[in-house]
Formats: sequence, structure tokens, C-alpha cells
Amino acid sequence: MAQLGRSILLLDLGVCLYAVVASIYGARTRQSDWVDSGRRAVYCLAGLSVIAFTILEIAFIRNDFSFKVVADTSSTTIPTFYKLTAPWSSQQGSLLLWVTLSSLWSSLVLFITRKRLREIAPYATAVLMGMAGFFAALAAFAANPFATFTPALTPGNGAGLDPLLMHPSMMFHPPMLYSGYTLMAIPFAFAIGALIAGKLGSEWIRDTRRFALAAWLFLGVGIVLGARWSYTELGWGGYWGWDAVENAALMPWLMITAFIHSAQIQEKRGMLKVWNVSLVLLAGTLAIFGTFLVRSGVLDSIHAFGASTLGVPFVILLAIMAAGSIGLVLYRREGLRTEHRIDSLLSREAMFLLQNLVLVAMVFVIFWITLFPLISDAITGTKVSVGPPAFTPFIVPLALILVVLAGAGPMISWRRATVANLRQHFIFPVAFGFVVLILLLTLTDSGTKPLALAMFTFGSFLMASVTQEMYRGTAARRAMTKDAWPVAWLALVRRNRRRYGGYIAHFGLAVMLIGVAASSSFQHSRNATLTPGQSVSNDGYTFHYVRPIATATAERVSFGAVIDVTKGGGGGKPGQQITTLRTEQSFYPSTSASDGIIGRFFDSANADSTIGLDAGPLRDIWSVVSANLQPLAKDINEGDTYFAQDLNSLIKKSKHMTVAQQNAYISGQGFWTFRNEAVEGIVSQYTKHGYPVEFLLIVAPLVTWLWVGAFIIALGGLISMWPAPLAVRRRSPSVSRSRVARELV
Amino acid sequence: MAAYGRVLWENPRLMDPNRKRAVRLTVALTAALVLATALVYVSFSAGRDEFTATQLLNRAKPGGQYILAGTVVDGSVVHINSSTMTFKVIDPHSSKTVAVRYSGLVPDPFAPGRAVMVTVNDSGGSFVGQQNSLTTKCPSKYQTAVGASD
Repeated sequence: MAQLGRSILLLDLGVCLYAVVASIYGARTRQSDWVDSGRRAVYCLAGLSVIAFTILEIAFIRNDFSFKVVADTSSTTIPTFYKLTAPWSSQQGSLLLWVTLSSLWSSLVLFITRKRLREIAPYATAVLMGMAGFFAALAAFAANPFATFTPALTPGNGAGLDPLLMHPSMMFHPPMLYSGYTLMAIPFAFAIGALIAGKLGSEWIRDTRRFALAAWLFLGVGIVLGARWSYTELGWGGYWGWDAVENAALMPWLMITAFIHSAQIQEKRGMLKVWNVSLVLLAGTLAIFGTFLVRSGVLDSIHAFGASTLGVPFVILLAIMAAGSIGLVLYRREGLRTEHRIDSLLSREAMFLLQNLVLVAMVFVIFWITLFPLISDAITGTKVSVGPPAFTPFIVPLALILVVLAGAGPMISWRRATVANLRQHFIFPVAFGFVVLILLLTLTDSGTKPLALAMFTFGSFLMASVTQEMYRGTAARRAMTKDAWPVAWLALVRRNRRRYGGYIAHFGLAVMLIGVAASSSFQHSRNATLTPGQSVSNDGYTFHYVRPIATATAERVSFGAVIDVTKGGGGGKPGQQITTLRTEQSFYPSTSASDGIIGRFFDSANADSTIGLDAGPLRDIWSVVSANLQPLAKDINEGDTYFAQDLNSLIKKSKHMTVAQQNAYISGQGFWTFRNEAVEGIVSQYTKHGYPVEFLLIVAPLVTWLWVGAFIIALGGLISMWPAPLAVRRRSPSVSRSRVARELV
Repeated sequence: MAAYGRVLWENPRLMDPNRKRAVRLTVALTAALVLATALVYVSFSAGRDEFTATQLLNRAKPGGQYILAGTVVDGSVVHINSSTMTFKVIDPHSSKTVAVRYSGLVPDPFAPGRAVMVTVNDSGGSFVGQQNSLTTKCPSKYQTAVGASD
């Protein structure tokens, strides 16, 4: 099977090469047969890549440890669900996943556009296949997922998957990110195609708009799933750390967000051609740059991607993409001249442009600060570490401006706003934001955090502006149809999905950023060392360490705590019971013989945390325990010594047997049963003694709204992407139109 | 002046387009320059030097705060009590080590042989880790294969 997989990878490379040559030859000689053949080669690549990836998945499911990658990242003890996700935890498997997803998305876009964009598509095919070929070459020659051990060296058991990656979101988070990255290549490729072919109108934007939106949606969902994983798995209580790898995904996402907005101006008014093509080219290049950061190990990151040899090929690819993009834009600068100019700074297109500038400024800030350790190293010889304190002074004000623009933009007319227009649209949202500000200042202590207060106010303004626009649209619809409000609203959204999907996404943005502002500004975090029966308070809540818990299974041993959380009380009165949290730290057996027969079950290098979380609409109560195994160390060491002697003695007695007979003999003597009982005995010591343990206890407000907001944004994106029904194209009768006009006057 | 502004507001085409473009360009460039200057300033002022063990031993001054990056030395982790431990960090490019006393939450992947970063204060000859500042690299992802036969 490994040989078949490797052969398919080599075939993939050949197919990519053929597709590039056939497409370019077909385009240059205007022979549609060659162009069609190049396109069909993409379908062929998709089929081959799916087969190769399936072979790898089967190897993981069957515990085929002759595959090096299976032996390194899986084991017989991990659940099947995680065996399915394990392929993309390795460099090799993730490269193959990249090729597979890239070929599938490329096939889809080329199939959809097969009868359109006939002059652009062949060049786009060549670019897409050039990029797919790059990743296929890496998988075939630099990080081969089908590398095998020689039969004599094939290990009996795998090293296992890192426990931190055994989280349900790992099934979706990496494929979502990779889908986002690979989809980002589609508008990039069509922009290059448009520049080469000299077809600089809006057609390529219209035909690839859904793919740009899909890239935005998938990458966004991937980023949020990663944040959720960080919040629930990494045991530090946060969801975003401005880590290099997080930033690597955020930069192209922000860039494609800018493009999705400014593309509308080109479609509507033929403006911003250079800007749009530059945004798309930058987004595509940043997607590859992000991949370079993740895989080269050039920057320190808690995600820690070990040193690899892939940095140089990525730098070459990035150089080609950047130089090619700049060269083509300069070459076509005359054709990219805009047809119109912005008439007024108080127009919707000006708002879009300002919002674009804010997004690009955000990308620039993130890019600079992320790379700053390398820059400082090159200049001063010392790496300088920069964290959230460097990002916050820039990103927060820019985010505030973005929220205001997202609220104001849809309310301002195209071309030029009049004073009457502004008055008519702005009174309600501004008044609403102002009322929220007054209420917050009066009823809460949010005045102590001005930036958070500003986000609550501006977010309220944005939500009010979206609600107002929805109300106006629904009222107009009701004037035509006399439908009930919910029916009219649904019909409104259904008939103009792009516009109202965007409004819903804006509403979600406000909800999400309010959640972020509240949870980051008003979080109360406390470290505490407690023994059972002790309590500690944090933000008005009392955390009472009730009892330790410990379990031992074949997969892991776990040590944890039960914590009662109460509020109020004091003066002899019990507090009100809020929740009971259970938090655990689990240790997975290591495969290293040097850890000892007993010690390998308590290896801190193979540990993960299960947080205790009580999530609510107003606040999250979050806890994690750091198990204290020091008191068990003596028993563990004695167990290692005793069982090592016992095993040696059994091996001596059975040295005349074959390996299989020897294993059966050792098992028959009850060695492994006694070993398991010893482990269980040591584990049970943990609950019998009230060892002090370290806790991190957090109370953070409105975290739930971050996830809810992200869901609303994704829903808005999905609505915008969804094809409009045919009925939308039906024109409304003149009677209805005049009724609407009367209603609105 | 206000009247002139009002006239321009109501009749924007009265303003010379070239002048208008120049004004916009100047404003945009000024904003970009201010942003870039602030960015460089904040990067240097908010950043902290990230040292290897060798650099820390050579350059640290009592009272200073630094970020120490390196690998945890095998057999150097000693738990003093439930929340405090000591460990040594080695410079991967030399044999120099620095002992760190650390209290606070220990990341799950922390173990001897793993790459870590920790914020330390030089308290006159010994280094004390800042609470909860210890981060450990996750070892499983994207490491180069060893001993594979193609």
C-alpha cells in the first residue's frame, strides 16, 4: 500500500506538470482541446489525491506501523476517531491533505467556470496546478507520508498522538484551516489569470466571489475552532495569545475580508481595480506565508513546529508569488486604471475604502510585530519577544474604527450622502449607542476600562444600525406582500442574500467583539494552592476544593479535583450554590523504556488537562488543576525497581523460548495484571491523602458571546455564499413598487 | 473659513481635483507615517529581550527581567512543593545552563528535553520565573522524520 501511495504522489506531480503545460499551450495557441485537457487533468489530480489520502487513512485505522508516519503519530490505544484525525498532525500527512483539498477546490471552480472566463481560466489552471505541484513535490521528496520502516525495524506499537491534539475540534480545525488556505489560492490564481490575459473587468471577481467568501468562511471557522481548542484544552484560560501561528491565519483572513467588501465597489462602479487585484494577490501570498511560518520553525510559537527543511522551498515559492504579482500589476497598470472616482468622502464607497484601509493597517501591524523577533535579531543580534502588550495599542483602536465603519457604511448612500440622508439613518443607531453608554456608565464599573466601554458603545451602534436596515427592508417587503413580519424578513434575506448575509455577519461581529472586550478586560484570574476542604475567593465567587479524584484506565491515569463554587454567604451563612466543577490532568503512558515499567504511566511529557467549565450567558467560571505527583514519586520509583527485577527474572526463566512464547509466559505469570494493580494502587493513594494542588481559577464575563458572535458571522457568510433562487430574478409588478414607494416616503 | 468650508461641502466640485488628490495623499501618507513610527517605537518598548542561557549569563543584570529560551535539562526538574519547582535550561548551541526557580501553572507538555520559554527575574545570582509565564513547545507536530526508509 505504501508503494502504491508513493507512486500516486509521483503521478500527482506528473499530472500537475501536464496540466500546467497543456493549459498554457492551449491558451497561447487558442486550442480549446488543450485547455479542456488541462482542466480534466485537475479532475484527475483530485481523484488520485483522494485515493492517496484514503490509503493513508486506512494505514492509520489498521495500525499499520510499517508506515513511519503512523508509528510516529498513532498507537493501538488511541480511539478510532483520533486515528482518523492523526494524519494531519504530522508534516507529511498535512501536506498530502493540502494537495487533496487544493485539487478538490480547484476542480470545483474549474468545473463551474468551464463555459465562462475562457481566456482567464487556462492561466488560472496553470497557477493552481503549479501550487498543487509544489505541495505534491514536498510530499513526494521532502516529507513523504508513505515512508516505511524495513520489516525488521517495524515497531510493535506507535508512539501515540500528542494528548493535546486529542480534542474533538481537531477533526475539523485543521481541515477548515487548510480549506481556507487552499481556497485562497483560487481568487489568487484567477487574478493572475486576468492580469496575464489582460481581462481586467469584474467578470473574474463575479465568478470567483463565492470561492473568496468560502475561503473567508472556512479560514474564519478554522480560526475560531482553534481559539475554542485553546480555551478548553491548553489550560491557560485564554482563547487568543497573538501567537505567530494564530497570526499567520488571521492575516490572510483580514485581507480577504477587505477584498470581499471592496470587490463590491468594482462590481458596482468599476473602481478600485488595482486595489482589488492587490488585495487578492496579497491574501494568496499571505496564505502561503502563513504556511511557511507554521512549517519552517523560523519563529517561536507555543504550537512549536519542530525544525524542518521546508523553509527554503517556501521562501522560493513566496519570492516567485510576490515578484510575479508585483510584475504583473505594474505591467497592466494602464488597464487597471479606474473608470470612476470617489465623489465624496461621505459615500458608501468611501466607507468601504476606509474600512479596507483599517483592515490592511491591521494586517501590517500584525505582520510587523509577528516578525519583529526576526527583525530585531537581524538588527541588534538579540531576539526581542513581543506579546499582547505590543498588539493591543494598535489592534484595539483599529477594531473600534472598524466597528463604527461597519455600522455606518450600509446606512450611507452610494456616491454622495446628503445631510437629510445622514439624519434619517443615523439618529436611531447613534441614540441607541448613546443610551447604552449612559446605562453602562451608570449601572456598571465599565468606565474603568475606556476601550472596552467604547467597544460596547460602538458595538451597540452597529447592532442598532443592522437592526434598523433589516427593519426598513422588512417593512418595505411587507408593504408589497402583506406578509407577517417573520415571513417578510425571511423573504427579504432570501431574495438579497449577499446584502443581508453581510448585515448578519456585521451583527455577529459586534456580538463577538463585545464578548472579546468584556472577557479580556474584566477577567479575574487567580492561582491558588489548596488542600481538600480549603476555599479561596475570586471575583465574589468562593471556590471550595471538595475532594481529589483519580482514575486509572488502559489509556491513561487521571488526577483531578471536585470544586464547589458558591456566591455570597459569609458571617456564618452558606453561600448560594452556583455550580460544581470537575477538572482533571491526565497522563498517557509513554513508550520510552527509560521511564520505567510503572513510571511510564505518570510521564508528565504526555499529559493533558480537562478544564472545569461552567459557561453561561453572563459569565464563564473556568478552572484547571495542576496535579501534584511529587508525593507519589517514592512509590513509583519503588514500583519501577521491583517490576524491573521481576521482569528480568521471568525473562531469565523463559530465555529458551521464542519471543511469542516468552510474551505468553510473562502474561501467564500474571506480570501485567500485577503491574496494572500496582498502577491502580498508586493512583488510589492520591485520593486517600489530601495532597495540596495548584489551581488556576478564572471568572470571565460574556465569553459565550464570542462563540455566539462567531456563529452568527459564519451564518451570515453562509447566507451570502448561497446561490440566489431563480424567483429573485422575477421583477415585482409596478403596482407593488409604487406601494413600496408610498410606504417609504 | 467656516463659510468657505460650507460652500465646499455643498459644492465639492469647486475644489480643484488635483489639490483635492494632493490633500488626500498627504493625509494618507501622514497617517501611514504616524502608524509606522508608533509601531516601531511600541515594538521596541513593549518587547523584551529573549536570551539563551549563554546570553543570559553574560548580559543579565540584577533586577532585570528577561525571557529565557532553551531546552529543559534531563534530570534537572525538582519539585520543591505543590506549586514550586526548579529546573535547568540549556543553551542548545553551547553547554551553558541556567537554573530557574518557578512557581505557577506548568503547561501540560513541560518535560525534560522539551523547548521552553519562561520570563525570569535576575534576583542577584539566581533566576526566578514569573508566575504562569512558562510556555512549552508542543513536540509532536511537524518534526523531521528520523530513520525512515523510503
